[in-house]
Amino acid sequence: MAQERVPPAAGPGSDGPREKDAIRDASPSRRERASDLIVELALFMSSYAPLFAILAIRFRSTGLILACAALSAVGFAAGAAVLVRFHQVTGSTWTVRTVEDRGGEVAGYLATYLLPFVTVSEPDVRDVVGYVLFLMVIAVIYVRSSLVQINPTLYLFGWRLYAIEIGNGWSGYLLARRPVRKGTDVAAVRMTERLFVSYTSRRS
Amino acid sequence: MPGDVLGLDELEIPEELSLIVAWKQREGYEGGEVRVVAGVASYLREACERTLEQVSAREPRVYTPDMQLEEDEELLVLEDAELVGDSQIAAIVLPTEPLPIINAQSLPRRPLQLYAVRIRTDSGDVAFVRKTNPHTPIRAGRMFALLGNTLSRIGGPVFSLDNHFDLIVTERGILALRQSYFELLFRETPALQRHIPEWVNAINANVPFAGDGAARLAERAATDGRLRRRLRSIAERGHLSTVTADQIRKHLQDVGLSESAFLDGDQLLYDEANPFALVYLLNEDFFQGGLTDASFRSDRKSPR
Repeated sequence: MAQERVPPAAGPGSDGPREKDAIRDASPSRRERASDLIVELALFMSSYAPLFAILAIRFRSTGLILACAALSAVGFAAGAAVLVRFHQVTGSTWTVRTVEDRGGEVAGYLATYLLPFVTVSEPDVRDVVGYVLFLMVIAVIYVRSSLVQINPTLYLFGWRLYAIEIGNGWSGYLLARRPVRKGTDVAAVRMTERLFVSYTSRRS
Repeated sequence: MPGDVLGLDELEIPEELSLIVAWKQREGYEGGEVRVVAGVASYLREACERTLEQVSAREPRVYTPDMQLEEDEELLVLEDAELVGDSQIAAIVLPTEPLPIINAQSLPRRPLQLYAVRIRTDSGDVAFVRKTNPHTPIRAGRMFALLGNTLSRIGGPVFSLDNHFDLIVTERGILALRQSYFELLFRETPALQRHIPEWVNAINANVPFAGDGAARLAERAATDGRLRRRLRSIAERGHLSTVTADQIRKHLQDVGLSESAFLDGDQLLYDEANPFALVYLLNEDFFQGGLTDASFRSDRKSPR
C-alpha cells in the first residue's frame, strides 16, 4: 500500500545567489548546536549534581562545602528545569525500529569521570584549579559528544536511556521512564537533534 | 463521504502532533520540524478539526487535470499512492524519520513554502498542509512588539498560523480544498513524469504522429507542466481510442482551423514552434461559441 517515498533532498543546482543560499542553508549545524547548547549544558550540570553533593559531604573547608552544595542544587534544578520545560512541548509519535538499553554507559560514565573528583577530601588551591579545568574540559567533551544523553541524575530519578533507530537510518537516544520495545509507537518530545524524551509510553 | 476514500472516516486528532515547515532548496524542497508548546498544539488541533468539518461539508470530486474545482462546494480527491510515494512534499510532511529541528537560529532565510501538521493514526500518518508562509517577516522600518503590562519588542521570528488547512495528505492519496495549491505542490512528481511516454504512445497508437513528432512531444512535455497536464487529461479521458483522422479533419473544419497545420495526410503534425496547438486540439479545447461564430480555447472544463 504505502510507497517508498523519495528523500526530501534537493537536486543539483548551479545558479549564483541560489547556490550561495543553498550552501548557507545546507550547513545549519553551527546554529543548531547553538540552540541545543543551553539544554546540553543544563543536562551536563545535572549529571554532575550527585558528584557535587558527594564532594560537599567529603570536603572539610566551609567555602568548598558551600560551593559544592550550591553547584549540586543548581545541577538538580537544571535537570528538573529541562524536564519541566520539555513537558510543555507537544510530542510526536514515532515507530521505534530498534531499541538498545544504554544503562551500561551510565555506569562507565560514573567510573571514568566522576570518581577522580572524589579522591581528595582536603584539596589545596592547585587541586581546586585543576578540578575546575578538568570539569571544563569534560563539559566541552560532554556537549560535543553523545555523552550528553548519559545522565546519572536522571537515572536516580527513574529515567532510563535507550539508543533507538527510527525509519530507514535515523539514530538517536530516548529517555523514558517505562521500558520501550522495538516495533512500538512511542510518543516523545525532541529535546535536541538526537535526543527524545518520552513522558508517557504509548500503545503498541 | 470523502473521508472514507482515504480512510479518514471519523478521524480524531490525537494529542501528539508535529508542526513541519518546508522551503525550496535548489530544484526541490527541504523541511524541518518546529517544536510547539501545548497552547499552539491545541490551536493546530482545532484547525485540523475545522478542516475535517469543511471536508465533510463538501462534495468530493475525483481529480482530473482538466477540472475546475468549485472551491466553496467541492473537494478534490486523488487516491494515488504512487504519486504520494514519489512526491518530495509528501516525503517532508509525512516523514518516515525525524526531520531537523527548526528554531529561531536555524530558521532558513529562504521563505517557507508551507507548514503542515503531521499526526499518527491507526491507519497511518496524516498531514494537514497549509500552503502559506507562516513566518511573518519584519519589513524594513517596522518592528513587532507584544503588549503585556508594557510594550516589549519581539526579538525572534514571528509565526502566524491560520485556523484551517488547504490539503490533507495520507499515504494513500490527497484531499485538497484548493485545487491550485494541489497542482502547485504535487503535479510535478516523478510519478507523473514517468507517464509521459505512455500518454504520448497512447495517442500515437491510435492516430500516428508524422515523423518523430511523438518523441519530440514527449521530450517537450518533460519540461513543460502545461503540456503534461493536457496529455494526462487526454490519456485519462481515453476519448481518442475511437477517434479517426477523418473525425479530426472534420473537427478542424468545425472550429475554423487549418488542416495543414495539424495533419499530414492521416498523421498528426507536431509543430515545435507551437507545441500546445496540437495538444489543445486533441484535448478538445478549441470550440466555437454556441450562439456566435466566435472561436474560443478552453483552459479548464468539466464534464456535464
